[in-house]
Parts: sequence; C-alpha cells; structure tokens
Amino acid sequence: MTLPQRVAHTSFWLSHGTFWFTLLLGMVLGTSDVCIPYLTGCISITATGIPDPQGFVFRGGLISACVLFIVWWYCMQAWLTEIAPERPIWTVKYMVSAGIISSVCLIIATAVLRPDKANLPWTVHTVGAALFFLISLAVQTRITYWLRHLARRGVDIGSSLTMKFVLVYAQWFFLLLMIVLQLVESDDRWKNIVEWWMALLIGLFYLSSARDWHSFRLTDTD
Amino acid sequence: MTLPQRIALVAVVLPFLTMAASYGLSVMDGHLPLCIPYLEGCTTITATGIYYPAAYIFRAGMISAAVVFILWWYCVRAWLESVGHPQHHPWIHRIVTFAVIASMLLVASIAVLGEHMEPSSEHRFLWRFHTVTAGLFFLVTSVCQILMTWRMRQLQAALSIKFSRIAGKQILAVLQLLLLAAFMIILLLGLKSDGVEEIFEWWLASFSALYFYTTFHDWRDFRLTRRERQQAQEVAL
Repeated sequence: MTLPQRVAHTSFWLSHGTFWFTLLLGMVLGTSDVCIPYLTGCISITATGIPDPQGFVFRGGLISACVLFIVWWYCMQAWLTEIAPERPIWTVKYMVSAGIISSVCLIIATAVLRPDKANLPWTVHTVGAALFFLISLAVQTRITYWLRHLARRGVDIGSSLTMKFVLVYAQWFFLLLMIVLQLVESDDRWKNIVEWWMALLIGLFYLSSARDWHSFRLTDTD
Repeated sequence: MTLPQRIALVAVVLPFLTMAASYGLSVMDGHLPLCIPYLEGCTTITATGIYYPAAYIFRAGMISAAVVFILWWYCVRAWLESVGHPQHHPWIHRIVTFAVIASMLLVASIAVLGEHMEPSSEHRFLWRFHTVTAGLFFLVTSVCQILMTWRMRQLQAALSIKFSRIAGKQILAVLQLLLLAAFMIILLLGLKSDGVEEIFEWWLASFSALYFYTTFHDWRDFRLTRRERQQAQEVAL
C-alpha cells in the first residue's frame, strides 16, 4: 500500500474509529444512551468527546486524524499536479489550501474541548467545527468537478469519480436540510442526525481516493 | 518542496513553536516563572501544557507533531529502501516500528493533559500515565535515532549515501547519547538535584526534534510520483 493510500484509509478509520469508540465508551460508562446516533440523533459528535476519559481518546484520535486530512490534501495537490496535462487553475490550488485550513479549524475546535462544560469556549468550538464542515464541502465539490474536467479530457483519474459525486451531492442535501432545521428551530436530535451523516460522508470522501492512488508513491527521483 | 521535505520541516518547527507559545502564555498568565528552562531547569515541558489556554495550544501542537513524527519515520523507511540498490531492510522496519509506537505514546501522553490534572495529589494515575508514556517516547525516539544513524554509517556504501548526509545526524545522535549517558550516571550516583531532570528533558527534546530536520536536504528528490508506473509502461512499449 502506498503512502497516499495509507493516508486515505487512516484518515477515515482513525476519525470515525474515534467517534465510534468514544460513543461506545460513553454507553459503557453511562454518559450517553445506548442508541445509534445516525438514526436517532441521541447525542452530538461533540458531546461524545467532552467527558473524561472519552475526551482523552477523542482529542488524541481526532487531532491525529486532522493532521492526516492535511496530508491528504497535500497528496491531492501533488496528484493533481502530476496527472493534469496543464497546471491546475488557481481555484483548484487555492481549494487545496482551503482544505488544509478546514482541517486546522477542526484541530482548534477539538483542542478546546474540556470536561467542565461551563468553561468550554463554545464559540471557538462551534465556529471551528462549522467552518470545517462548510469549507470541506466547498473544497471537495470543487475538486470533484476538476476531476470530472480532467476525465473528460481523457486523463486517467482513477475510478472513484462517481462515488465522489454521490458523496458530494449527499453532503449538499444534508447541508440544505441543516439550514432548514436551523430556520424552523428544530429539535437538536434532527440536527445531530445530520451532523453524524455529514461527518461520515466527508470521511468517506477522503477514503474514496485510496483506490485511485495505488500507483502513486514516494520515489527517489534523483 | 516535496512532501517528505515538508514533513521534515514541520517535524522540527511545530514542536518548538508549540513549546514556545504555550510556555509564553503560561508565563503571561502567571502559572510559570520567566526563565531559560534550558539553563535553569525552572519548569518541565509538561508544565507548559497544563493550564488553559496554553493547554489548548500545547495539545493541538504536540499531538499534531507526534503524527508528523510518525509520517517522518514512514518516509525514512521508504527512503532508505529506495536509495542505492533498492532492497528490503529488516533493521529499519524494526527501528521504525518502535519509533512509531513511541510517537503513539506521545499522543496518549499529551491527550490526558489539562487543568483537570490539578491538584496532582488527587490525580496520581493520570500523572503516572503521562510521565511513563512521555518518558518512553523520549527514550525510544532517541535510541531509534541513534541506532538509525549507526546503521546508516555501517551501510553508507551499500546505500550510496554521501558522508555529508550523515554528518548532521551523527552529531545529534552523539549529543543525545551523551545526554542519556550523563543522565543515567547522575541517577545511578544519586547526584540528582532540583532542575537537572528538567534541563535534560528540554535539551533531549530539542536534539530529537532537530534530528528530524537532518533529512530535509536528503529528500530534495524524494517525492510522490507515478513515475515508476510510467517507466514500466515505457519499458512495456
């Protein structure tokens, strides 16, 4: 397995493994109900990572995963530069930088979590997490359309384009749903469901590149 | 700049920036004294990451740095197996495995830090966990860096590595070895006094971080590419 493939796999499994493990730990320790948040919205992602000792796992796992997201974006940049017959247009280059910024936002949002909820800087956390979701979606959409542009020009971009389109459109659907839920001041449970699904879809987008990168590896070109 | 070069650069810059920022914030908030910890041993690295808001920066920066260290070790393995006559080197696999585990211990060590560990008398388990994992990280990482340098020196000709590419690594490996040896002697002879452990900790962490930078120039032509595949296709044609 190449380094970019490992990064794609680990980005998904580490981030979601962390969510699922902290959720499970919360159920065992009695800080959260026994439920499937993707269906019932019984708990938000943030809430799984607030109390200790789940917080230790959550911070360690998610900040580590965010670093891998950043490396994933560098891999994507290197890959696009390598496969594109012409240099990627400026929006694509800036989108990769934006992808890195979105991961940094999530690092900040995760680092400020602490068990004493009253002193937790909620604004920093909420803004950081929201920016991660919004910027990631914008960047993933732009990259997907750039890949389609390359595919139409006959460039070998791998086999994940259809999956990427499905993931991106599903994310836009959930984002619109979230906006509607905010406007109608819906119950938090519905918002939690949307949050869990959006996180899953973003993670799957990172994972989707693994099969494209099987021959994209570190090589001494000297 | 290639991806491995970025990793080597971030592996040295990120820990130094994080320690400096969190120490500065802790001093400004009055939690730590203003001093030169490298000379006076007035504080530990851990202490800079206990109090909020410095702890936010410390955990974000150091956990990120630990993941970068893992990536650096992965690049080392891939690089050493691609230079000279590409072949499988079991020794580097073993060293990298230990070093990666050590970096994972650093993640665990930092993840538990925060104001919730105060007062320390009521959270002895967390403190012991942090001390053991952080100590193992320092020790194993230094030993792995020393062993890597030693083996690279032995296999210099086989790996086709120039002397200049090992010189910096050798200096930092020797300095780490001397620090570890001196610390062991002080412990064994019971000469330990206030601040000695802290001074060793700061210097060892710095040498270890600087070591990551020594591959920056080695990796100028070490990049992510599909060239291997292209070359194979050209040969096939």
